[in-house]
Amino acid sequence: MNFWVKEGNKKSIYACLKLYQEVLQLVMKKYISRICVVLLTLVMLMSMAVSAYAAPDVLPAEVESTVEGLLTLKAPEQLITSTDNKKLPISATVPEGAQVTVYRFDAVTGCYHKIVVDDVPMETTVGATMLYAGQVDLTTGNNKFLIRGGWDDSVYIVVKFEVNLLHIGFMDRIKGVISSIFN
Amino acid sequence: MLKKYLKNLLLFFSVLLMFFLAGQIWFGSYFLPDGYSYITSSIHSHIINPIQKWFDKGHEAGFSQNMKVLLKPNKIVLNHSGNRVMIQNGHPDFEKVRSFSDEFIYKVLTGEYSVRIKETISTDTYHSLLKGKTIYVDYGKDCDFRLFSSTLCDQSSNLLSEDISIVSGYIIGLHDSVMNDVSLYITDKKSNTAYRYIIEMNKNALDAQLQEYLAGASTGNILSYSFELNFHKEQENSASKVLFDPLILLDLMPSEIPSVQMLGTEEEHRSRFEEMTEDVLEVFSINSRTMRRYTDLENARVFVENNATLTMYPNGRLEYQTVQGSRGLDISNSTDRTNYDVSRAMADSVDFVAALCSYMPETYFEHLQISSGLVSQTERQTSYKLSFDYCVNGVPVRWQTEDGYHAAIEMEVTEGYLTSYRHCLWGYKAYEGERQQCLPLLTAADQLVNTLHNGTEPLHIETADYCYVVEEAGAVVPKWYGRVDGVERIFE
Repeated sequence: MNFWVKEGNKKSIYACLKLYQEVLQLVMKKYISRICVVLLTLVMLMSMAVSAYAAPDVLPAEVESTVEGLLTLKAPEQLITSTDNKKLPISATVPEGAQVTVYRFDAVTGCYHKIVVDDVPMETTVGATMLYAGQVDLTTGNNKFLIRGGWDDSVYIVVKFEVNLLHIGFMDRIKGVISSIFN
Repeated sequence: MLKKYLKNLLLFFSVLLMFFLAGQIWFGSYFLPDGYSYITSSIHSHIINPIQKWFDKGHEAGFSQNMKVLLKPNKIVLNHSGNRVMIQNGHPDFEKVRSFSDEFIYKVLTGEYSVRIKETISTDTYHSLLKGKTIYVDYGKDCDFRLFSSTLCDQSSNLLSEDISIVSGYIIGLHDSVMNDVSLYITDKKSNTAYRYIIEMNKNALDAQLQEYLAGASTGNILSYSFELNFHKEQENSASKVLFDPLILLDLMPSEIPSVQMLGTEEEHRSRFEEMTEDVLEVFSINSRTMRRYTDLENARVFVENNATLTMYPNGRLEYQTVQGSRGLDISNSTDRTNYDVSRAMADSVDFVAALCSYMPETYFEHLQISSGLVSQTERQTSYKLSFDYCVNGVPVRWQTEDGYHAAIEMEVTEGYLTSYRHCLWGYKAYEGERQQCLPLLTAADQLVNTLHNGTEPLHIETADYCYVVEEAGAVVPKWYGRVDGVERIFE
């Protein structure tokens, strides 16, 4: 082929190029749909691999873990606690690459809803430290939360915990009583 | 008669000349520079310095004043009713808050506020105080208590000296409840014992001030202490690759700090550097008449003396290095070299740095902060490596070189002799209009684990703070730095 091109004149080169073009067009017409399907599949696979998996926005109250030991809640240490602090730090240990999402229980719907702060969901993929840390606001009274650590839709663990925010007035009354005893 | 007068006159001038030449040999080492330096230093240390000290009563106050500038709290954390604010140098309220916390500790140390009860408390109790109504003054480094006390109240010994040897901060507790008193909480870092001193004073004034400062604080995410997240301890079935010191504050969201740029142009710096050459030589007691000087391939000016070399690099770096076997430059204020402890090393170093900085723009010294720990590792330690950071809004600026990251000033003092000194003379300033994003500490720790973790023991992050790094290319970027497993490093 190379020999023929080298030996040929301008006309033969043009003829050669035209031949290539025709062959390409034929192939494209015949296989265009298949090529498109393959490319689309590739793009979808790549985007699935790159984009982070997102946990469901709402979880039913009776949701249960599908695996054990994937997430350990570090803070709060007890599953039912009381505090007078309006901010609650939450922490957990989770394997690197797993996703952690925090939900708050909504008494109206009877479900746990993903917490969203400033349009950003409380959802993180845990890094090499294997540590997760977050913070939620408490409302006066009982606050129910759920922390979910998972690899995907089917492999996950949920831990439910409750924090009772004591009313400042109530705390003050207790302090007042103690104060009157001591002073 | 005339001949007799001429003889007397000649004799008089001969005696004068003798004194002049002797003075040159002793004090200036002009004629015989080799081998007479010990006479010069002996005369300085045994005769001139003691006499100067006798007349110069204000000397100690000068050191104390300089120390007050150089030893500031790394951060002050205000806690009140679930709200928490961290204030660093450069914050509009920093000086006010520092002033009232300084006043409180001053009055306790000098006995103006009497201590009603003293008791020891557990470490957990000490930590849990920070959830209540408290002011936590954190110096970010271990400090010899005598030196700490001298800096704050000009007294090295006081009521607390018998309990405390090494201190890194203190907590003023106002208590959420019950009692109307105020407590001072200090942990002795040597014995790791936490003390509570109940002070005879009414808490109302401090309480009001605390509320005032927290009134305007943001209601968004507040910083969390590592102990609140239980990141300071390993739990069963929850292995992590890193443990944080309990008192490290973690920001859970990315934050922004002002951009930093060089103060003035490189050309301005270079010309100022040129201008102050003679003064620098004088501070390092280098005789400009007898030294050898040359310019090396890096365009650095090198001044060579018998015992040391001073190099002034075109990028604003100054290096002084004594030759091996030489004692170095005498910077001591005292003739007595025995029991040369960290307080004396610090006093000598601070005076030396202040003398050098007096030839620089006034604001330069105000930006300096002591960054090294101020403790003696052993009782017989006589050599100390001390460092000073150039800070912009309380955030240190570190310089990247081929051999790592450096503070603005790094020096080594052995029994009052300066053996090595490295100083970056360029200043930097913040541009509030331009802000740079800082990674959350956990994200920075992820990078650290990827770099350092060996797969077995967790890394122990002992301190963690922001700094600006001046990269070799000249760009200034914010990064996390701290002590990890006993070694200070940038988190990357």
